[in-house]
Amino acid sequence: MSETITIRVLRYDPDKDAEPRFEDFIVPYRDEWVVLDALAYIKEALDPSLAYRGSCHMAVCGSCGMMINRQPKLACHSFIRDYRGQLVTVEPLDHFPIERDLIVDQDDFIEKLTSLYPYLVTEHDKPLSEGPNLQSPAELAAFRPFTQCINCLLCYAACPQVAINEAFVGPAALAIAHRYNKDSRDSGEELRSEVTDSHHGVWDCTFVGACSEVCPKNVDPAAAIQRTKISASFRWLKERLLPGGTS
Amino acid sequence: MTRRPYVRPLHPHWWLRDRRQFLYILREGTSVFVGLYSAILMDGLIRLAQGRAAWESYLAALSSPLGVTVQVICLAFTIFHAVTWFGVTPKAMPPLLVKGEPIPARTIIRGHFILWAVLSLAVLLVLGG
Ligand code: SF4
Ligand code: FES
Repeated sequence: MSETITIRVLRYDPDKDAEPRFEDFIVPYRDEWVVLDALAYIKEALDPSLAYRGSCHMAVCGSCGMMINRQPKLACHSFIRDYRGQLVTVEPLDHFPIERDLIVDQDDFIEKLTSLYPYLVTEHDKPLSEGPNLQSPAELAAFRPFTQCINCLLCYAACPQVAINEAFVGPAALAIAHRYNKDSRDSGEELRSEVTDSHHGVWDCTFVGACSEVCPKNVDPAAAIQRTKISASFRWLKERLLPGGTS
Repeated sequence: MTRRPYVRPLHPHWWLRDRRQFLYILREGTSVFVGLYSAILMDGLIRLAQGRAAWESYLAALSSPLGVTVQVICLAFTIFHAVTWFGVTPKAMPPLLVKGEPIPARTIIRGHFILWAVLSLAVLLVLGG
């Protein structure tokens, strides 16, 4: 018999299961397969009811985040050859409610992200006739790495603060806020500071650094959050020390 | 089709199950020893203010086997604490640009170690000399 590998999948059917349960599937071993391919094989050949998300197959869409052997990973970026001879355990991302099988409920994240004005906020509409907004390479470099986020939420699954504190806005949302704050065309930092500077914004972060370690796009949310802490502290001081502050 | 999202309870030993989380809790835990040593130093100041006899007994307590053991443990944990924090400092600083290029994280971390060594040597020289 040709080589196989066992994929242990956490299954949950809200219509039938009181709680999630593991199910083992034996799939062919292929050197060039990623875990996402193995899941596709299971769905096509073994159990069409398996639910998971995935699309681009190239670490761009951010939809295939899951726990693979307890580590938050993109299923399209995890070769099964790296797990050769092992049992591969696949679970939905930690710290999110499970919708069905490997699919998690992301509503809470979307709400948090939306509260941060995740787009360019401009003071006034600039007419087209004024031409484009030019940016120097240095201005671009200030925020460029933070534009790479694909909302895969691996960072949320890695973060112990997210685990113990539901209200924490979390790494990716704060990294995206930082991305716009550092953009020379943006003037929404004040608006975002309502959330970023609040207790459940950057101050819930205890600088574990796990988010940056697991990020498949090298976004470095931990850096974004620590830098926002510095700006938040300055804003706090300014409000109290300068005339015209609120208190 | 019903929606009935299932919230998995946090594993009771979540920080023991993962190397990364374990190191984080260890780093946080070491601050207890940093605090303990600060308290010992504060106590020294108080004893010094109380006069010669108090100060001498403080020194004697420090050089007792128990005192030395406590200090060695504090030193070990404080070094671990410092090293872990040096490792993350590049993330806490705004990117420093030299000729338009950000200084690599490794250089910043090394800088901290060098500064640490220089300061420790200076303190040793001043106190020892
Ligand atoms: S910051 Fe990185 S890990 Fe977090 S959602 Fe974005 S790409 Fe994924
Ligand atoms: S399938 Fe798009 S990121 Fe994995």
